[in-house]
Amino acid sequence: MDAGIIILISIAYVAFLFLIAYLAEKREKAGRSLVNNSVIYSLSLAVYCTAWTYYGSVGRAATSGLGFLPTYIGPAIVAPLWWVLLKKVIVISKSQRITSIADFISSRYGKSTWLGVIATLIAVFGIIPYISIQLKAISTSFDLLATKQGALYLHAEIPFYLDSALYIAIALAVFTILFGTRNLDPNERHEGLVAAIAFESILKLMAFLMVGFFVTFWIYDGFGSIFRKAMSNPELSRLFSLEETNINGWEWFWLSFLSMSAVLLLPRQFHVSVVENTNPNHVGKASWLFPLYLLLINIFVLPIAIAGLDQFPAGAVEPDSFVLSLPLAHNKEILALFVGLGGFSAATSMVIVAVIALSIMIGNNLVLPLLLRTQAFHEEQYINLNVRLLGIRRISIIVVLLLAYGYFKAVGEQYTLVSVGLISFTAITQFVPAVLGGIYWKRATKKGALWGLLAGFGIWAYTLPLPTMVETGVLPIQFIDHGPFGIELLKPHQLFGLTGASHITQAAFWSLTANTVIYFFVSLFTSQSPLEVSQADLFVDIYKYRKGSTDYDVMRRQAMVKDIRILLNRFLGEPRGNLLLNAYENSQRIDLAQQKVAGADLVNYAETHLAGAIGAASAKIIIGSITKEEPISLEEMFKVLEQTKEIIQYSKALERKSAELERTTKQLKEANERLKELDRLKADFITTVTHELRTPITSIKALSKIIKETPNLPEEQKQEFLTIVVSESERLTRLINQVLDLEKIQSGPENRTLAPIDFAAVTERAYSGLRQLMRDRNIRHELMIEHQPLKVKGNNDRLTQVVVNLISNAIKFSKEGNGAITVHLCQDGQMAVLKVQDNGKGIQPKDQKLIFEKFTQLSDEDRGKPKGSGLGLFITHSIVAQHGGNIHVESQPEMGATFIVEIPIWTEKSQ
Amino acid sequence: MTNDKVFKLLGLFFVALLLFNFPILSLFSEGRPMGGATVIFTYIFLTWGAIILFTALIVESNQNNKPR
Repeated sequence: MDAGIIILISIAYVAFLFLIAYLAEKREKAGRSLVNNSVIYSLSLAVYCTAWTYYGSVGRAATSGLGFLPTYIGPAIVAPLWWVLLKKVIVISKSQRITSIADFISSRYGKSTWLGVIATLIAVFGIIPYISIQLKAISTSFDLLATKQGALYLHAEIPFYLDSALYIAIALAVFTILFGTRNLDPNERHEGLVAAIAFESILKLMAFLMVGFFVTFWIYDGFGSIFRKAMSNPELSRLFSLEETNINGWEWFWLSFLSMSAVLLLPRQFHVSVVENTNPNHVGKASWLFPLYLLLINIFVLPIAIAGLDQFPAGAVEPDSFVLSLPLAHNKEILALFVGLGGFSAATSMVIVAVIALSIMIGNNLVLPLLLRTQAFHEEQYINLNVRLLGIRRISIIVVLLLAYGYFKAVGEQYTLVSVGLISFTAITQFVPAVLGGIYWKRATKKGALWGLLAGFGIWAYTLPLPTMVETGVLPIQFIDHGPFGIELLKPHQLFGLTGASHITQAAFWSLTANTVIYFFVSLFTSQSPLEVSQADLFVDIYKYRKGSTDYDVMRRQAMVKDIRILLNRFLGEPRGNLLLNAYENSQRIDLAQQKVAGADLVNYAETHLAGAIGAASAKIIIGSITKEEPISLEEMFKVLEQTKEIIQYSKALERKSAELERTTKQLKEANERLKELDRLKADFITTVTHELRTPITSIKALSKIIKETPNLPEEQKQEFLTIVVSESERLTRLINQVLDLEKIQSGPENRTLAPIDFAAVTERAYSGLRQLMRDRNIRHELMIEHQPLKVKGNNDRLTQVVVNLISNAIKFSKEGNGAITVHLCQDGQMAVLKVQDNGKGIQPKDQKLIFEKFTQLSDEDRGKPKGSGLGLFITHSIVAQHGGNIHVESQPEMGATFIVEIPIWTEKSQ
Repeated sequence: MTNDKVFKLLGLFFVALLLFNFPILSLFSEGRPMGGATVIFTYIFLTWGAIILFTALIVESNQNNKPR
């Protein structure tokens, strides 16, 4: 067929597309949108099917049987989830005026400029190989149609100005510019484009079904005949076995996972499914119509592949072009032309939408933010920015297509369509953690997304596109075979020693694993800025915000109404700007002409609408240039800090008070306990004393009565009785004296005169006075005085009482019948130390303090009734204390007790 | 959006994931003819059609009860 006719038909076809677009836009303006329709929406999603599907699937099926299917099975698996997942993304994007996948990611993570730049670069570099295969498909089919034989020459070997692929690239750039950049739509919606894409989807499906029918039912007698034919040939029958075509579960899973991600996240898919969406509910119908479309376009792939392998001698025709070669071989030129047109439509729809999506990204998320960052804001820069923005996009379109041509010429020709396409899929899959986490995990941070994407993209670049550079001679072949610098672990196709997986699978595995792990952990170890927190909340809980009427605003921003008007007019054009402001006035019922300063509400309104035209990150910067952000003034901050400080101090004071109170309460409790104990002791004491008093009185009374009533009582008997009466009276006196003594001692030391006396003499005297008693009781006794004289300052009578009390005590408590008492006096430093030791029962440790208390009498079952008044030791303790000394006891049960008294030595100096 | 609908679709997704992956898929990996084609070919396209059908049934149900 004449090349001229083919070119003419192609041009006529494109003109027809323009007509469709023109009609669609005309109807949109008239308010009867053609595109606002779930069937058109579903068809526009079929931009997913490119030359890869149209030509490449058959090529893939010819070598690996069902291996072409995961690319379409993935979308079929994930489609039921669209109603949940895609709808949420659409609702978020509409409320945020999101214009591309890069914008979506940047916006979610605090409208980060850098994240937008990285995402754009990943998308651009990821998609270039994909665009290059469309160029290859168009030029190959052109060659085939024109000459009836493929691969007349290698594109890499002829100069570029003779290369048809270059002219195809240039023509596509022109189409794309005409389609996508005629005007700047604030919502980035192109109804004309969508209508044209939907038409192309119908055309390519019809063309492919037609060639499928031709092959299956014209050349052969239906599916049964083709499959039987294949089965009879062992070379062909292996295509039906997954094992024999080297497809295992691991490969299958990853390939379908890649396509699941790509069907939503490829820039062109995101553009048609999200940005061009007119109603989120269209997703419902699309979630089954689109898989149905995929099913139909795939059903003839395997039969065509088998037919191609059956009809042509091995290696004669490239399997990627079986679709076209089969009708040509049967001299069906009109059919072949139609099929070629179908392929042309598949390729052009992909190129046009993908390149428009990329140009929006490059303009909004790459060039504009960098421009705004590097140059100070001058008002004149905004003049005609509308035109400038379109200029940026047009240049990006040309650059992207030339890069794609460059890739095709350098490497693309060596690989099949599918293997190059999968490189792009793997790049796009890197967006999965950031997007999925972005809409379901609030804790995800900008740094997490940034580092995750960088890691995933880095591994992708290293393992997939870099090795293809070997073809161009930039890198030596050793790079693939032995790794860089001979490091085998870093071999790009067997990274970290992972063998047994295909290049794509191992690259997808490593890059996505690194990406996800880094995204997750960096997010957990970093914190979010206030804007990130509010964006995260808005993305994750979008339905909550949609129900509520008030838009949230994190910063209270103000700007002049005049400035906002200027900005909107410059960026969106005057009619559109005025329309927006009027709409705002109407909805809020205010008159902006009356106001000078616009509140946060209007600023946010302007920002979201600007974001539609220039992307979230750029809109934020531009609005930032006219607004006075007053998040919190310094003064307010200080006030808050001051208040916080006061509260902290107050609470500290409270804490102190409460601790004090606790202490006081504890002391009071203790005092109360002591008082109670004393009270109890007093009551006990009174009982004891009364008892003690009654005993002598009873005996005195009885004996006196006997003497009185028995006149003839023998004299000696009378004498004996009188002696008892006297001794009992003395005992009474002693007891009463002791009680009185106690009173005296307690009344204070001031009425007592202290003078230097010899403690040794006092001790000796008191000891001698009691020696007889000890002898009577058969107690061994000993007195040891080491230093004599031993001057202390004290009162003679009182100190005597101390010694007598202690020795009497020892007599009372020493062992019955075999007692032993030692009295020992010595000087220890500045103290005179008196020790009185007995060998009695001893004193329990718990009682050793208690015995010096007033009215304490130790009693237990062994000892029976107490032998004293309970005052002796207390009196002793009081006297010693008045002399500036101290007294304590050392004892262990059954080992006797030693009372130790220490009284300061008197010296000339102390006087 | 009703919660039931979401869970039905989620369930369908997991069933599809299961049916279209190994090891279930490998059970049908044979070249034996069946219904004019081979077992694996028939299995894949029938399952695919079933998933489309169920998605349509779930998504299109209760359309009239929706608030909009």
